[in-house]
Amino acid sequence: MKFTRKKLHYDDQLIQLIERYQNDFYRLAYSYTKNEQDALDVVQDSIQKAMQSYEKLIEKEKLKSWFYKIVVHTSLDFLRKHKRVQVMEDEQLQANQRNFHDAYENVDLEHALDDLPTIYREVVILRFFEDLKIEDIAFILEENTNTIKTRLYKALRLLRADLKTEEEF
Amino acid sequence: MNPKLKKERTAYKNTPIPPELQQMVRKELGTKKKNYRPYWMSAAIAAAIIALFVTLNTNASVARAMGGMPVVGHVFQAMTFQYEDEQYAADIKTPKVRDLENKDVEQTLNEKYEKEAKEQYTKFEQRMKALKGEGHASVTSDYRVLQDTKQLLVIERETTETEASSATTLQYDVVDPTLKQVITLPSLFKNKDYVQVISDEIKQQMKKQMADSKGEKVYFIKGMNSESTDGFDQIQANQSFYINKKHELVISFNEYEVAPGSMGPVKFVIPTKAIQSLLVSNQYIR
Repeated sequence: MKFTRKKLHYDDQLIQLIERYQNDFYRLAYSYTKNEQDALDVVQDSIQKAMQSYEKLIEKEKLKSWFYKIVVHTSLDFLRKHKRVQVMEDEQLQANQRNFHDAYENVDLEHALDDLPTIYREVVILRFFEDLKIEDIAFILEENTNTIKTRLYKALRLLRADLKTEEEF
Repeated sequence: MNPKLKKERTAYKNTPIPPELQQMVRKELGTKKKNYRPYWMSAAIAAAIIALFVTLNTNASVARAMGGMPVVGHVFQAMTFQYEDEQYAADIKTPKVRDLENKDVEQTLNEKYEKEAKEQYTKFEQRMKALKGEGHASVTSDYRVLQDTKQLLVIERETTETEASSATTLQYDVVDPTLKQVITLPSLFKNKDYVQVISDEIKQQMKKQMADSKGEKVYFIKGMNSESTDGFDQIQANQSFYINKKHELVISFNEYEVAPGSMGPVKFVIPTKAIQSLLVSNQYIR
């Protein structure tokens, strides 16, 4: 009985986290899949994975980063499995964008980030859009902090984002 | 942040969220939650939701069954307001205290919990009405017993209201089960000097955290620079607080109160040595 209660309590933490940050997790998934339904599938898969392996997570304070990690892995797995589908989606996306071109003010900027290879795009998103620390990003992407810093630096250069204001990652 | 990156960030944050997300998440989490309950109970809860949409229990024995928690100590789950459809959800759990030596305190607390839960639910219904079937809204309210010892009972209540964005508030009740009084912040101190001393301590901690985290953590402090005309200046005389297991005073702020929303609700542990000279006694705080 005691054990069950404990499990329930921990589960509550996970449930609260997912409920609270579901939009953030979705946006991150979408940044990989570029498709609503696929992003939803990724989030759904991620929740199931998290529920299954939650008990194995020892450092509960890393819960949020840990969930981001699952979302990233699940998204990358998804892209690997659906490479052909992805190409078609892109074409469709471009076709759609042509129609909506006038509505997009900052179409160039959106493309700039979208055009970056995944390894650069994801560090920018995690650092500047999701406001995560370098150490957390290193944990999520399973790289060391120097690699992450180098990638960020390069990503900002590719975006031609002014580095002066971004000296402190 | 440079303007180019800022624009990219805005575009990213504006990624449309499909309404199916919340439904799917709730379904995934809901299924899992139920696994831990005896099957008859989930059936009972489901039945209650379908039949009434709102479940209200003031009867203690029913409340125990609904909460699924054995009654240990001074607190048990008394009332649950639940509502759920595809767009709107409410889940308001309310604690009830019992076996306090002083029945007045017990009654005051319980009446407050009941009243506030009903108010939260009424507010939710009003928001639902105002939205006229558009959009999404939810309210969840839950409590945690932070301490339940012979000397101290500390109950934390957390409420999150979600519409386009969410706001979380934390409330505490600190009770000495043997005494006639709910412990208030002023009652711990000899005079009003504590407001200034604790405020200064918090400002120092805020500044230190901001410096140490190299900008990861952000607090709004009044007068920090020319732009910060509002922000944290002083705690209120009856600021939200509790006493942790190490017998330290903890001051709590709601989401958005002293920091951007991304920081959530924030808490500061006040080292006892900073306030020692002002304390009435070391009975609770050491």
